[in-house]
Amino acid sequence: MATMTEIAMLHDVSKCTACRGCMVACKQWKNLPADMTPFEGNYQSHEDLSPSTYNLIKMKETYENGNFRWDFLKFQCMHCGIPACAKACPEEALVKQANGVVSFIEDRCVGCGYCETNCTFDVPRIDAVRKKSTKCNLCEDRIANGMVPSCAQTCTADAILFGTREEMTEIAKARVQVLKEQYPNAQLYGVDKNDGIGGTNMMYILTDRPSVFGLPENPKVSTSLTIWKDYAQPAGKFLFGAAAMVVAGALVNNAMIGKKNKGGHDHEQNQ
Amino acid sequence: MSKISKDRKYVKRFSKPVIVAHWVNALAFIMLYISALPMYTEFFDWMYPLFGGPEVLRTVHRVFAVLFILPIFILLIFDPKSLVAWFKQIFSWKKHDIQFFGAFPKEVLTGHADVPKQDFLNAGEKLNSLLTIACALMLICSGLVMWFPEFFPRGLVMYMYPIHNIGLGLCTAVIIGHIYLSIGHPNSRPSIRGMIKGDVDLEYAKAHHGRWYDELMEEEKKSQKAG
Ligand code: HEM
Ligand code: HEM
Repeated sequence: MATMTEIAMLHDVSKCTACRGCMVACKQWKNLPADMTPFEGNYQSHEDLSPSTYNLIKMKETYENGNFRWDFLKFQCMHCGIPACAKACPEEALVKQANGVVSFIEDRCVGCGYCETNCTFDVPRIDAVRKKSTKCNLCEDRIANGMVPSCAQTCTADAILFGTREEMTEIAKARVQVLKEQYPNAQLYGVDKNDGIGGTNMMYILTDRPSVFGLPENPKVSTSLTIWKDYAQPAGKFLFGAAAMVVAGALVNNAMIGKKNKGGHDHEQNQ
Repeated sequence: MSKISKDRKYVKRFSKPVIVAHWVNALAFIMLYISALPMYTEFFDWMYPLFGGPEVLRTVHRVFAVLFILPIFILLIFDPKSLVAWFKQIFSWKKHDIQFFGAFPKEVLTGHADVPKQDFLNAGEKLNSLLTIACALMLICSGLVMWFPEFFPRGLVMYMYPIHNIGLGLCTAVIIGHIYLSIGHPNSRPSIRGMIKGDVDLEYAKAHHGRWYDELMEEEKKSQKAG
């Protein structure tokens, strides 16, 4: 089955025309309402992701060396190799699947917001009305039926590609070589599985450094989350167990002293 | 007015405000703890329905958080003297306090040991107080930031979760020990009367808090001379 092999989505920012067709396709497949936002004086349609916008074309305006330039980025869930959201979730509502998708099981979600606080990329958004988290799930229902995600399906510029992670990696590596001639800083993002988050299944071909596109240069699972989940929580559970055992032991011991001496409590040094 | 009852059987130990503060605190703590379990791990998820769902549970946690913070104000308003005395006690560490811990394990295990005379609070109670205060501070400070994250930078909010968790782990051990020693262990059981009625058996005071007992006797003598 195609779903068992690892898949990936690839956004080639050099090909993206920011037509935002992918945003519309996403809303259509997910049945999400439009977010009505005021005009802010720039071309980017929405300020940020929202509980009803899982996919956003970011349009960064840069003025450099007397030249104006736009940098586009398809911003959405990155489907991290080591997803901080899943680690933070106390309900196992976020699950890393074998095919690479970080899926979201809404029934389990209690809307606590720990995924929102801890996500390496600040992606999930809590729907305050429904008390549920929201984010892209890479159209895993479509993938399971042998289709590609709706955004990739609709992209007219071939800027959003979808396939096995292996294929996508090959395409990305070849493409970045070509781009390097025009863009010396051209590079891949999320492809390397040895980065701080185990690579991503939403990968990018960038024309410049990640920070130019608003992506962290060295993405990692936050230290606070590691302390919380890998040290503090297990230690707490251990202490709970240890304290309970001590009490159990003490009660047994009580029963034993109880037999030896009844009452009497003068045991400070008599002087 | 003498602290010792007319029949010389009981001695006043805790004031009404102290007793109220202690039990409000204890109730809040236990409810905070219970409401925290399903948030802590999936293992306790079956408790959500008991509270009426995750959302209500989170509200319950916040309500009892307020109750947990309340006692300090009860004391500040109604009995600041006891509060000051308590702080003075728990930061006074002398030789007899240190020696206490040498004898303590034997005392717990066999019910008999040569414990040097103790203050109003014995060294174990002093340590318990200090640890409880430290845990409470951790839990309250981190909890408030988690409650109102919009007023704090995200990086700080993220660190409050591990701190809340460490506070929780520490206080679990401390409180289980405390509850055991106050109701579980035969020798210290008379102390519970102090936290309910406010007074304890004079004999018990003499045996468990010798230095406090000596002070009481001094006071008695002085007031008798004066009166
Ligand atoms: C069923 C629960 C509890 C019982 C039976 C209990 C009982 C007692 C008693 C009898 C004392 C007075 C000891 C003395 O004569 O010096 C005391 C003191 C104290 N309690 Fe509790 N307590 C309980 C829960 C708690 C909880 C949950 C907290 C804190 C969150 C707490 C904090 C303290 C502190 C700080 C003191 C003063 C220091 C000490 O005596 O150890 N207690 N408690
Ligand atoms: C006995 C004391 C307490 C215990 C055992 C406790 C435990 C917990 C636990 C286990 C969590 C879930 C997060 C995690 O897994 O770390 C939590 C969340 C929280 N606690 Fe506490 N806590 C205590 C006291 C407090 C206090 C005093 C406050 C406030 C002043 C507070 C405020 C909060 C808040 C706001 C949350 C976030 C709840 C949410 O997810 O919406 N807690 N607490």
